[in-house]
Amino acid sequence: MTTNPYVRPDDYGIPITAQHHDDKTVRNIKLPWQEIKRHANPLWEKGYQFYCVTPKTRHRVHSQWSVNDWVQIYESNFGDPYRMDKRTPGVGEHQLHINPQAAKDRGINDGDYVYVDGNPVDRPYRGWKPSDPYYKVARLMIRAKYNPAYPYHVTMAKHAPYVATPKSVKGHETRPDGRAIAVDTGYQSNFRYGAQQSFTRNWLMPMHQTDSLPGKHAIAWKFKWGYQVDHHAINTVPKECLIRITKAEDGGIGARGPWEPVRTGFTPGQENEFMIKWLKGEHIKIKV
Amino acid sequence: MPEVYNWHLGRKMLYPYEERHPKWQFAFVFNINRCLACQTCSMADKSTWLFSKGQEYMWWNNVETKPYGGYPQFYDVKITQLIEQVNPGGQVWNVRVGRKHHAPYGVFEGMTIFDAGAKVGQAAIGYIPTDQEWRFVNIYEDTATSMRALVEGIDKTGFSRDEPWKMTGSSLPEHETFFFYLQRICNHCTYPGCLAACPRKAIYKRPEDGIVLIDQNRCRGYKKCVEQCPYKKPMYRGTTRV
Repeated sequence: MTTNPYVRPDDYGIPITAQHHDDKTVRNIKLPWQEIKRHANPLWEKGYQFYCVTPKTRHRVHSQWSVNDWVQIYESNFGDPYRMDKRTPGVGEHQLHINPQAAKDRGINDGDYVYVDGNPVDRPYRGWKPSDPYYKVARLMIRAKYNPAYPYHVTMAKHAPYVATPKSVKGHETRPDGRAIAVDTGYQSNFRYGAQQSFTRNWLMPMHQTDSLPGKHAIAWKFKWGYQVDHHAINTVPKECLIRITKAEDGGIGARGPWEPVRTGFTPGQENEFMIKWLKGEHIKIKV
Repeated sequence: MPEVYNWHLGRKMLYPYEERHPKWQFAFVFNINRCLACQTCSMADKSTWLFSKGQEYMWWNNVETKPYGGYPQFYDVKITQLIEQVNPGGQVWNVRVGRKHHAPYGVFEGMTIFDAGAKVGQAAIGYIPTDQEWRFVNIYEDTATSMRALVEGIDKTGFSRDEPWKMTGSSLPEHETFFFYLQRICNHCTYPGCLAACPRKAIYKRPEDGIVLIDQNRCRGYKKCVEQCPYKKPMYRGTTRV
């Protein structure tokens, strides 16, 4: 966004309507704010109406410890060492924070499983087809968690969990305990299906892809020129991710009814009369 | 039932045993303002004490996000509701009396867990959490109360597509959206609910340092301590002596 005449971007002949991530990353366009604010992402009309931010978590270091049992138990709303719900991929699973009203407007209850779809041009992978057996593995299915801290159109899923693979999906669907573990390698996934990478893409700015760009060495306290893994191969921090969210399964044990805690009347967005009184501090009276 | 003095409440209250105090009182202090709920203290506790069979669900040290978080789920709302049912509308703080040395917060005229317990024939009012309620130790981490815009219905979305930079937010000094982290371990209470509840007198407050302990040789697993500790910190291990 600029009107500065000295900014002279090259669009490399790629039209402004191009939607593929690779095209959009290479193409540079200059527009003034007056025009940008009238421009709508064509995905919006197709139901892709949520931003998804993917911040780091304080419980792990990138993907390190993602499938440690106690970390899984602590990471989300769904940590359970006894796995009462056999759909859970491990002793916990990844989650998507969503504004309660936004979820309710789409028939999604707290704790339900939802499908998350990114830009269909290249996600979950290039050339996907619903009939493709790999599509089921790559399409993200994740638990929704109500959190009124988020604005209506903003969702959040912490970055760098372990992705579902064809073998982890096979484990999930064939093991008696339902865990998403690859039978031969023991690889444990944080998801039943899909991953954060189902809706995000890496961001490779053309200006970063040079042999001469200086940057901090990824694993040493010194400068380096050219290829850097953390600069050129960033794989969990998305450039953009406008997503569509649709309900997949009920949250209750074995997909029967709502997730148990929301039946109490003590959960965000579904408070009963006593909980509202308690939140406002009105269960105690002060005599002054 | 004897009466003991409780300086928090600024008055005497019912308690099954006579008032007695230890020589010293052991205590831990958490700085609530500095805590970011990284759970490192919980992990240290878990890896030191709670790694054996039957202890999978146990976290003696846990950090929960208030107001929705709680381990076991909603224990604090549930206890408050139980007392409310016994004493509807009667939980009153009298601050008209002013601050005194023996009553720094005024006088609490409502019911304690022991007062309410006497009404239902128990040492203290309480409940035993179900196995389902012990799940999800960090439930509703970082979850705030509803945005004011949503609560008051100013604008269902708070978001205007034509003018996306215009959001409806809170205005000072009102600050209705909140959450905070609460760090929890056994409080080693002056008047422990668990000790009052135990039918075997297996729980005692050690005279030299005030630590509240359970004597495993006397315990027969009635779980009255689990039921009547309002903080739900005594935890039952089903595999002991198996």
